[in-house]
Amino acid sequence: MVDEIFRSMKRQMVPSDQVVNDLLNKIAILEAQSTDNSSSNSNTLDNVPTKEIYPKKSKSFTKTIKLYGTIAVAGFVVVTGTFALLGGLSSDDKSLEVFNQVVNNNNVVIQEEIPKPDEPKSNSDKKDDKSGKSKEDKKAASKHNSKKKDGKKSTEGDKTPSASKDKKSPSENEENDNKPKSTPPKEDDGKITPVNTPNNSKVTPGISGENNISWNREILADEHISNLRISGNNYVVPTVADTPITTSKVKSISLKLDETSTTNRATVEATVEKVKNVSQDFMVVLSVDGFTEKLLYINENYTPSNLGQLISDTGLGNAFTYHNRVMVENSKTGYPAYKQVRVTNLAALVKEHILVNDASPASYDSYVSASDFALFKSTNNPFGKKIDFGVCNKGYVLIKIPGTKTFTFNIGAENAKAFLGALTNN
Amino acid sequence: MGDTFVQNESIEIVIQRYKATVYSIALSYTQNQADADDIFQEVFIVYFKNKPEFNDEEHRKAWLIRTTINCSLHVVNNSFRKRSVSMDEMDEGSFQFESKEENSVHIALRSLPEKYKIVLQLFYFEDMSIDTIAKTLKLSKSNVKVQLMRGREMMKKKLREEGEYYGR
Repeated sequence: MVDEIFRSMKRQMVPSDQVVNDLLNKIAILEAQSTDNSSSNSNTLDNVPTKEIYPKKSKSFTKTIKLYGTIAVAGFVVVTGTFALLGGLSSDDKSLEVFNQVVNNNNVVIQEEIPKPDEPKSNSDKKDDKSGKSKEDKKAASKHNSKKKDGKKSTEGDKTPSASKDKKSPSENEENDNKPKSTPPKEDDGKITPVNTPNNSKVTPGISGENNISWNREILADEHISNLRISGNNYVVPTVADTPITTSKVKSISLKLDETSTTNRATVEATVEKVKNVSQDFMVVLSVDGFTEKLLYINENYTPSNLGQLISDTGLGNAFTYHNRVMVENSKTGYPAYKQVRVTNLAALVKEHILVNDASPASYDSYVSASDFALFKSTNNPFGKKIDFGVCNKGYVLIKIPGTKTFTFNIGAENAKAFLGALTNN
Repeated sequence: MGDTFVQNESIEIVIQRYKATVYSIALSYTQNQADADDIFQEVFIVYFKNKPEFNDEEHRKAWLIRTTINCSLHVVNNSFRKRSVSMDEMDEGSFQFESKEENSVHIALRSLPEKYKIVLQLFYFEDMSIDTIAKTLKLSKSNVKVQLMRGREMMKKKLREEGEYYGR
C-alpha cells in the first residue's frame, strides 16, 4: 500500500509541459546570448553553484557587509551626486540621484562618469567565474579577513580599483569640484529609508592591498543601492530579475563609494536601463558592472489610473503566460479551503474577464471582504518575476507585483463571477 | 539511468531524464508548485551555464540533487519570499495529489526536519540506495540509516496523529 502511494506520488510530481517548454525557451535564449562566456567547469559536489545563482547572497558579499559593519555599525546614506539623465527619465530637471545605503559614517558619492586613469583591470580580468570574482580575489579576500581579524591596519585604498580619497587624481577632483548638480543628500525628505540594513556579519571582504581585488562588485549589491530617485520619485529595489529580461540603456552612471573611516574608495560603473515594453514610470533597472544580476527598481509612488494603464505600463499585454493551476475558494460549492483546479484555458479566461481596461482602482478591503476567491500566478512577464492575481466574487481583482506593489481594481461583479464560474466548471 | 555515460549529453535529454527528480525535491522543500517550477528551471539553467563535468551518470544525478537542495533552501529561507507568499500560504496543501492519502503523506513528509526529509525523499521517491544517498549527501552510511529510520518513525507518528494514515 505504502509503495503504491509512493509510486503514485512520484508519477504526479513532474513539472508541467509548459514549465519544461519555458525552460527550453530560456535555455535557447541563453544559448543565443552567450558569446565567449567561458564558464568554469565544476566537477565535484563541493562546487555546486548556489552562489552563482544568487550572487547577492554570496559569502563574499556578506563578508563585505561585515567589514563595513565593523567599521561603522549603523548604516546610512549620504548622496552627493546628482545626475542628468540623457533622456526619457524626466522632462524637467532630468536628474537622477542614487541613494546608496552603506554603513554608518560612510559617504556614498555619486557622480557622473569619471575618467579613471588608474583603472587597473578590465572586467574580464577580474572575473573568472559567474560571480564575477576570481579565485585569486577570493584567496586575497580570505587573507585580508585574517589580517583584519588580527587588528592590522590595511592600506586598502591605494590598491583598490580606484584611487584612495587621499590619492584622488586631479581630474577626478576637478570633476567633483565643478560638478554643478551635486546636491547634499535629502535626508529629511523621509524617502531615504534604510532598506535591509546589512547586519549579517560573518566575514570580511577583499584586501585592498591586493591588486586583483574587485571592490566594486563586493561593495555594491541591491541592498546597498536601496533607492533610486528619479524626477522626485523614489524607486525602491524589490529584487533581482529571475530570468533574462530585455533592456535598453538609458544612462550610464558612476557610483563612487567612500568610507570616511578608512582610505577606501571604489568607483563602480552602472547603467540605468529600461525594460522592454515596461514604462519607466513603473520600473527601471540598474545594471552594475561586475554584478551579474539586474536590479529591479519599482517606483513606489506609481499609481495607475485604471487597469488598462497598469497593463500597458507593466507590459503585461505582451508576453504573458500563467500557471494552469488556480486556487479556488468557493463557499457555495462547499470547498473547505483553497482547492486547486487545473485550468487549461486560463489565459483566455483572464483576457476575456479580468483584463478590463477601464477597471478603476479600488481598495484592498473591498477585495478581501468577499467570500469566493480565485488565486493564480503569471509565469512570465517582461521583467522576469511572477505576479500574483486574485479575483473575488464581489468584482475585484488584486494584482500583486513582486516586492511591494499590490493593486486592486474593480472589474465588476459580473466579470468576476463569470470568471469564477468558468474556473469551477472547468 | 542509462548504461552508457555521455559527458556532453544534450540539455534536452538531461532535462527529460531528471525533471521528475529535480521537481519532486523542489516540491518537497518549497511546498508550492510555483516555486518548484522556478527552482526546476533555475537548476537546469545553472547546469546549462556551468556545463559541469562528471565522472559518471551517478555523479551527474548527485550534482543535480545537491544543486536542487541548495536552490530550494535558498528560496525557502529567502526573506523576500517570506514577505510575498501570502497567497501561497492560503494554499493549505499547495501541490495537490490525486488522493487524500497521498496528500497526507506529502504534508507529513514536508513537515519533517530537513535532514530526514531529504533522506526519505531520495530513498522512496528516487529509489536511491543507502550507499548512493550517503555519497550524494556526504554522510556516512550509518548516518543515512539512522536518519531513514527516525524519519520513518516521525512520518508514522505524524500520520497517526492526524488520523490520516491508511497504510499498513
